Amino acid sequence: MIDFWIILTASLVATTTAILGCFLIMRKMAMIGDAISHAVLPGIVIAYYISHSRASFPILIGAAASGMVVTYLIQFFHQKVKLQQDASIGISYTFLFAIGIILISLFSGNVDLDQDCVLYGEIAYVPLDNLSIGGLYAGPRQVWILGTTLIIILTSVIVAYRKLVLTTFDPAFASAMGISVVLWQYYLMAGVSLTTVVSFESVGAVLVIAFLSGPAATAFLLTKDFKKMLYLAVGFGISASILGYYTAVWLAGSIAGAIATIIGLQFAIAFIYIQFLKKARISETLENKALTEV
Amino acid sequence: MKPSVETHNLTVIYDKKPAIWNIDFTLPTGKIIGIMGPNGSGKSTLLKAIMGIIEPNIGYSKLFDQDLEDVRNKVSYVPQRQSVDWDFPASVWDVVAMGRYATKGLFKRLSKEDHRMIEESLSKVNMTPFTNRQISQLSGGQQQRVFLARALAQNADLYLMDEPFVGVDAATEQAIINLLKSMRDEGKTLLVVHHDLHTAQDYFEHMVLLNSRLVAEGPTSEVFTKDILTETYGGTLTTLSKVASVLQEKDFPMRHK
Amino acid sequence: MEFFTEILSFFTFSEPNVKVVFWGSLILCSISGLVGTFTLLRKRSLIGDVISHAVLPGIALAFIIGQQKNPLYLIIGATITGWISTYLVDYITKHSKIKNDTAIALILSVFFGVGVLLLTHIQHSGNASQSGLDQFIFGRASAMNMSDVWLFSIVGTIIVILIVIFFRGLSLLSFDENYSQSIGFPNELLKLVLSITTVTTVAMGVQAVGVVLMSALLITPAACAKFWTNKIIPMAILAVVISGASGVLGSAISYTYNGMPTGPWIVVVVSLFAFISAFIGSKNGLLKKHLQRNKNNTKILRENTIKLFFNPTTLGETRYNFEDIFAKSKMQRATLKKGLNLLKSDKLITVSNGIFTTTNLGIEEAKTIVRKHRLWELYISRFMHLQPDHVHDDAEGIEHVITPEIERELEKELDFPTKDPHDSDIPY
Repeated sequence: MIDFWIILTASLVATTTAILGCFLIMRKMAMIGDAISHAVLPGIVIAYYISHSRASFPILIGAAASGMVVTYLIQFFHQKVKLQQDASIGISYTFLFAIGIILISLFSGNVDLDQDCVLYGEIAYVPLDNLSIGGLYAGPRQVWILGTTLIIILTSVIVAYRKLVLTTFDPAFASAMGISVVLWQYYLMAGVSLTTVVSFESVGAVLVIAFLSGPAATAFLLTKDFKKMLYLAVGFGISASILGYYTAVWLAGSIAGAIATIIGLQFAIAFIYIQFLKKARISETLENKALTEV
Repeated sequence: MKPSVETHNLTVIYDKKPAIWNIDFTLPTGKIIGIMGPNGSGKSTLLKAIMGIIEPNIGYSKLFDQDLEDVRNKVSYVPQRQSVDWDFPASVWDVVAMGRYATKGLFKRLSKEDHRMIEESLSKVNMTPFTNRQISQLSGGQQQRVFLARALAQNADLYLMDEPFVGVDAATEQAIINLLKSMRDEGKTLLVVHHDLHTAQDYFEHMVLLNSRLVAEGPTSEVFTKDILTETYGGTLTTLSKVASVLQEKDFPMRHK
Repeated sequence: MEFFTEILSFFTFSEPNVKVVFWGSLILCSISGLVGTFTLLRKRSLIGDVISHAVLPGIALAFIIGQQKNPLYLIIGATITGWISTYLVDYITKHSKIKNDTAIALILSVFFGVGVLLLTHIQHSGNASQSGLDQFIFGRASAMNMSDVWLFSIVGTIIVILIVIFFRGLSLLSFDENYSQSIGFPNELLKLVLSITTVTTVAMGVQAVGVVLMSALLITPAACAKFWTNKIIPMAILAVVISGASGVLGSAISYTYNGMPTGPWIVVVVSLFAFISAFIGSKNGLLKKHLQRNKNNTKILRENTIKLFFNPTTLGETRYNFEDIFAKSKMQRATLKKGLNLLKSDKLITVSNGIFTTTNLGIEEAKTIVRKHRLWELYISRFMHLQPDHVHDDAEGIEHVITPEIERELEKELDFPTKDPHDSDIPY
């Protein structure tokens, strides 16, 4: 039973991130997810400390506040003092992440977080933290939270699908049509922030990035249709969750780490497959040419 | 007769964008109009300022005597080909269908009429056999035709095109210009940023010559003269560039009218 | 008080271990500052991030293979996986439709994930000597020992020598890779030098700052230096100084407050240096911009006020009381008062009994500003083919920007004109 809850938790994270990830990689914004997931740390730690609990709502507020601070800092460095964008992002999120780690040390004992957990989460504990609704056992709390997040994200994406696709593919054309490119950018960012924050506890900061970029990238290699890419990415994410879990059990290691490893393997296999296809196509073309020239 | 495009004192001075100064003109309808000038003369900037993609520092423009917001459904913008990532997983049909989104909003499904218009646009640019082809597998000329089909699907009255003939093979270029001419014959107005002086006289009946500021505007026969072309292509106004750099360096405020 | 004694004891090396920590942080961080300068200039700050995350599996593998926590083996392992990661990012970007940022995010997180998997596997296998392996994730300079420091010094010296030897090539490569290629510089060799030095630096540096924050040590000192200079040699030197100082200060703080991890404090210190530089720095610093804006506004106010005193008929002295000059201007009362005070302190007008009179200096100044305004009007009407009724507003803004040099050019280009587009005289 425990297996099931853990795999379910991972799959929920994987599905939400795979969908968002497809948009992120097409917009060349894969690293923004990285920045956000690191930058929300201080906000989360402070929320934990103030609320003395693991309740989700204060955490979300804390993360949002942290997110706004990092966004402000990046704007400050990039727009106000004209620093190059990659450096603006780098300085801002590492600073906030450092503060987060310091706060964890400072509050240690008062805050139920440890440094390792922050980086790679501890999904194994998920089934131990159960929710009860009206006195009835309702399954692990994380599953409820992640499930709700998935529904929110899924709905938001379906509702805004055309606008998101158009602003991703051709922002100039979209802008000329009167669509606010900036608005949909923030919309997407809000979704990524929400997802990163709620996934924090189960998979940690760095591994959310594997979930956001990996399955989407693998799907991108294999298909020419964006809708199919979304489905494939979700499929890869869920299968990585299942395989990753059993790998972790076998190696007695971190579950999130194992899932990330499987994600990497999926990508590697797809990549090699594509290279073979390319070579096959080239030699086929050359053969055909040779035949026709005879 | 309402003018197609009017600009008043349109000025854009940002760092890293080619600047345009005090552009003031009124363009007729039902013609193919060329916008030409040397590199960095601000031709794309001008189109983007008219389309509201860039906010001008000073001045404004009007389309068919109205604000852009009120006539968006009558205007179609064809950006430069390289502004898009052609690796995006979409088919030719998907891209052309985007032209119908303007009237459909977030949810409305594409109707039979929409489908018909998309198919018709594809056939006008001779891309019907490629309808389901992935866009990354297209040649430069084919990509340009897809962009054009998307614009046609919008069924606008005014088309603004940014360098549609760059990187396009001769046969496609001929096909495109023929299509533009037939659109003009239907009463559409086409504003085309172009780079090749050799074909300008054949393609355009009316021209706007730009070199950061307006050098000349009028019927091709009147403005395509040695003197005007020399002024357009013969180098920038150094004083103008000096003023622009002082403005940027010293961070001077610009008044917006 | 106790804080000061603690800090003091750090810097006076009262404990033997402190010497190690001091020198270790100083050397590691300084090298990062140097190498990071090129990373920043090549706009590859994110690659630093990839490498720092990718060293983790190398460290874990080295431990599994070597069965001991030997720093040399660990660094070699770290360097190998670190180098593989940069190679993969570039390979993937080049040979598939995957874009650069996606490749970076993917490799960074997957390698880290593999590292985490291996590390947790090691921890759970109960191998006693593995304790403290997670110092690599978060950095604990206090766990360094003297032989570590010797290792860093030797490797660090090699890195510095390499960079100095290849400095010209590396600078050109960072500035303009294509040009560097076209003149026959050995780009591939230079890139290899850079990637090896970067990877090695990261492999060593993670011991002080840990994996996640290592990229900060590469980017932030160099970015900080950018606020003070545009030249590459001063930039590199400044980056070294800033990062070295941050390393020492950060370790001092972490030493003073027991239990605080070193890495984050070093990053906080260097980031603070960056924030301060962003404000007071001489290149693009906010303070400088603010001062420049104030200067601009003062200039504009002074010129707009003295303009009101211009006498088109006599080109000479004028005098007004406040109400008259206020009626003539389009300013707010308070603004006009401020402007008049400016004119008074600059000796462009004198005041007596509520009457403002222009001095000779003021007369000249008024003539100059009107002349600039009319020259500009003439310029734009002649060269931009604008109607005369359009030119005035434009000149209102631009007249303040025209330097004496530009003014002379205008006069020359317009052939020393005497009348403006409205047919008024241009006062010389």
